[in-house]
Amino acid sequence: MSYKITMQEMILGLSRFWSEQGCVIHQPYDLEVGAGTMHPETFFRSLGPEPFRVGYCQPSRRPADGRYADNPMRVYKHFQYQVILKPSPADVQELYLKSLHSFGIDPQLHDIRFEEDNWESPTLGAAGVGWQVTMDGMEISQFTYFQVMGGVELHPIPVELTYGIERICMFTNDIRNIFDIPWARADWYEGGFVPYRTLRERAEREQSAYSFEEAAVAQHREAFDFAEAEANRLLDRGIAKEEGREARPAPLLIPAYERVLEASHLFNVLDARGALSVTERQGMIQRIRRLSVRCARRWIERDETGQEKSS
Amino acid sequence: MKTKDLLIEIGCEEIPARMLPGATAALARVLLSLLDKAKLAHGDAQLFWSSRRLAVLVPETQSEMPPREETLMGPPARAAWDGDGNPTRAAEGFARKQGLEAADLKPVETDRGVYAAAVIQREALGVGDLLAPGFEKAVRGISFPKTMRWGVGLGSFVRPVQWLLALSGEEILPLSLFGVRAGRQTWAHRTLSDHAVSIRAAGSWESQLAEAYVVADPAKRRERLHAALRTAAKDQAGVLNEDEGLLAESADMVEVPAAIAGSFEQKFVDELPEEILKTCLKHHQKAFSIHREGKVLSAFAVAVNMPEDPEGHIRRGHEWVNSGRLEDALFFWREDRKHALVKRAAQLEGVLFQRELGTYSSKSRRVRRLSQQLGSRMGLDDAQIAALAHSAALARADLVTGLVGEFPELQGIAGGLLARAEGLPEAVTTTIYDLYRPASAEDALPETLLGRILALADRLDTLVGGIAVGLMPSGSKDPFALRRAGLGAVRLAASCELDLRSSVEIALQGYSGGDFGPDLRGTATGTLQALEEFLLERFSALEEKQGAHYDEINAVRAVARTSFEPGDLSRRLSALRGFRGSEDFLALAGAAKRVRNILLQAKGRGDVTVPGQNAEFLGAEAEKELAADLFEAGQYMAQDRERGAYGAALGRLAGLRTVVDRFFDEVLVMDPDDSLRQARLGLLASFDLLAHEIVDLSELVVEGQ
Repeated sequence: MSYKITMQEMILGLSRFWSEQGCVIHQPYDLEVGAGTMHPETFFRSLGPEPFRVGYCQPSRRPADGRYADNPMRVYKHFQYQVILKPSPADVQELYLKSLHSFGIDPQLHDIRFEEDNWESPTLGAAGVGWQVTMDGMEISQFTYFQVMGGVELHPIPVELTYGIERICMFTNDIRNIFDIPWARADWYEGGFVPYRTLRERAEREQSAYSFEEAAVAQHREAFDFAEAEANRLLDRGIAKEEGREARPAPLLIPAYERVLEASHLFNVLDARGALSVTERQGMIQRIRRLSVRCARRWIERDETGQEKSS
Repeated sequence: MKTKDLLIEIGCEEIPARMLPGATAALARVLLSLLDKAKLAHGDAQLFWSSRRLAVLVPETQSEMPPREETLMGPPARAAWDGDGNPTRAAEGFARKQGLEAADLKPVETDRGVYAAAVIQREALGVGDLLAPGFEKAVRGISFPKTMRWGVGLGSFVRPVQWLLALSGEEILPLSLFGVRAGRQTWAHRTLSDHAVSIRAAGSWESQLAEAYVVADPAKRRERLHAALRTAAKDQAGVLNEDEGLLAESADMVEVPAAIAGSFEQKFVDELPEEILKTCLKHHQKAFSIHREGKVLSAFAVAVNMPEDPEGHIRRGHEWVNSGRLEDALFFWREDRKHALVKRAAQLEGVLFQRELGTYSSKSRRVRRLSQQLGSRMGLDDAQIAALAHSAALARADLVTGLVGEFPELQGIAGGLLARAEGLPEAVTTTIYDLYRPASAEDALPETLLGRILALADRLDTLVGGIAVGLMPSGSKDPFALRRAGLGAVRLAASCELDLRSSVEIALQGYSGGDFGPDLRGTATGTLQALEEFLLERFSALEEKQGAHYDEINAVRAVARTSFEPGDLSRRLSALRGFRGSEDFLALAGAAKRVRNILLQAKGRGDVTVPGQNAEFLGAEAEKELAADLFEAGQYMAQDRERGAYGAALGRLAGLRTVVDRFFDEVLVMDPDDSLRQARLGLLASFDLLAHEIVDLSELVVEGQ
């Protein structure tokens, strides 16, 4: 069996390409997130006037999508290669098309299209306008000009490119099952490739069982309440001036935002567990959104000299 | 006068197909209004668009405003110069505003007297100079369903602007947009010819683009795509399943009209119902299904933005994706059949219909009861009522199936297919299948009577509940899609011969608390009247679409004061429209209006106006004749009305014209003798009764009145 490209060759190719475009090649965030957009290097850096360029491969957990490794397309955790260019350059579509070469796609031989698909994240208080990019009828990327993040209107506008690398890898290699994806070439491994199955199957089975059957509902709710309270406490720092203290402490935004990410993941688990009524579900989304909005507002606060208060 | 073709092309990153026609039309309006404002002559605008461009070509546009003398009137001479001929302050002010000295003003003779005028020599101005000042602001003012910002800019547009082409003949116009200056360059097909094309002249733009694989004329592109799709289907030894909407959408998603065909495994055709197969291809991949001799083939055709596929990547890609999607659909179809619909229906307890109206479970209970009540009114037999109840209990069960989760447009249809696969009676499966019909004003009604009753009950429940909790549509806001439900209800009630007023009341009683959702029985009568008014508006809208005039509609709406049976109203309306050309009938309508006024005035003065009162006092030949004819016509018209023979009834009414005319010629109604006056008013009141027995004739607008 031979394959055109492996998962890790895709990740390496994209990293090299975007590195050449001046991006910081960052590492994935080390907390559970549902999408690459939740990485602080996207959430916070989208705010404010400073330019920024970053690329990273973010493992993204969606407990409700877990299928016990039985479904050929849907998984608890998948990988998103994420690029942020701020401000969005005028030639971003051309750059994107060039980036396809980095994993062996020649746009001259395929039907590449940009089809309207606007993006919204209720929990991040974020929205953007853009497309899903399709190749020969297959969705391979989300291409989004962010307009609002954490409830804050953005200026300048960042553009986000998200590559669904499993799908592209399956498509390119004509594979029908995600677990058959070759992750790495390895002469020490039977067949010459280490497959996705070896790396991911057990985790998928167990994480699905955990999310759907085992997760302790009451404790998840408590943990959610705690994460929310903790985030609010850290965000409150510097607002209520304490008696007898001169220096007002700054909010601790990164730890506060990490609590938001935790709350978001706890919510996803509760949702997958079927523990939330429609109203409760809506209420929790609103609670996470309020925290995201508070984080964003405090991030962009400036003092009289134009310096960020938080940095 | 020199004229040239004027061309404006705004190049953008991919614009959503649904916005292209409206956006280009708006651009044309902007351009023509700028030309008109500059008083430049021009031909009719031609509209072009594709996913990456909006373009307007205005042929024979005056390319230059020649040098000319312009005379601008200022203050009257009396106010401009004093007795000594010195300019006043008013004259100085006017001159300054025109950039002149007061001494430059000249007296000019007009119809209204002598005025001080500024005579200004205007230099020749090109079309570009004239368009430039207003162009950017006007284009930025074009509204789109959704706009965005990009880069460091503050302006917003449908998508980032990449280039601006602006030519008058061969000449570049000095325009700009979002910091992009106009030139003669356009960009051709993104991958086939990814380079700038330098356009020689406005007139050669379309053909130069075509050489670079872009068909900019939407009609040509659509026609050529249609041909390409049909050829692709033929290559699969089949015929394209035509779909106008899908064709139009596809044509605006490609710049070069090309199509490919592909195939998938036969098992999908063998196992999947045709509806699911077609929907799956269309919904996810915008692909057309292909048939041969009435049977769907295991093949598809789809629009692509590449004319060649030398290595077969594109075909294999589409086959890969379509197979995956069909595999999903097949998975759902198999899974969904593992559970009986009745079990699915139990799950509706957890599915919200509307926040204040509760779950689909309580809706199903209400609709079941309501459909049975409507069925009894219509005289259905016990077996039919039972089938109706059975269908109603299961009709929404497909909401929790995988199929509807994946393809929301299959709701109802999926339920029907699953019911059939489960072996439920045909009467039940067809009734469930058609629950969502009609989906639009043009869509067909459910095939069977039971289907119509259930669909009606479902909509009445939605309408009553929605309006009771304050979701009445206003302007462009209609969050609960009540207008569509209303249109459906009117058409369905017409086909069931049901009275909507009493049906709405029964539907409201259905919201009885407990298992039946909230208790709305105490809803104010004003709310129900508003709903009825809303439904009458839908009735009027439907009839107007059929060509009825508003006064004719008003004439039948007036009859709806006693009952609101859309089918009956519709028949009265068409009978009325049949008489619209009859002179006798129109004259009678005029008389009806006159009688209505006389009666109103008489009532105002305290006269009694009971039909037939004091008839024994009538003496004149003309009034005795009228009384006799009215009596006779009344007898017949009552019978006609009973039989629904509205045309015949209106014909009898028209036949009264001569006696009515004679009455008015020979008889004075307002006789000073009380008894006689009351008798004549009684006669007119009898006529008035007849004049709105079928429709209210006094509502008709008759010429000359």
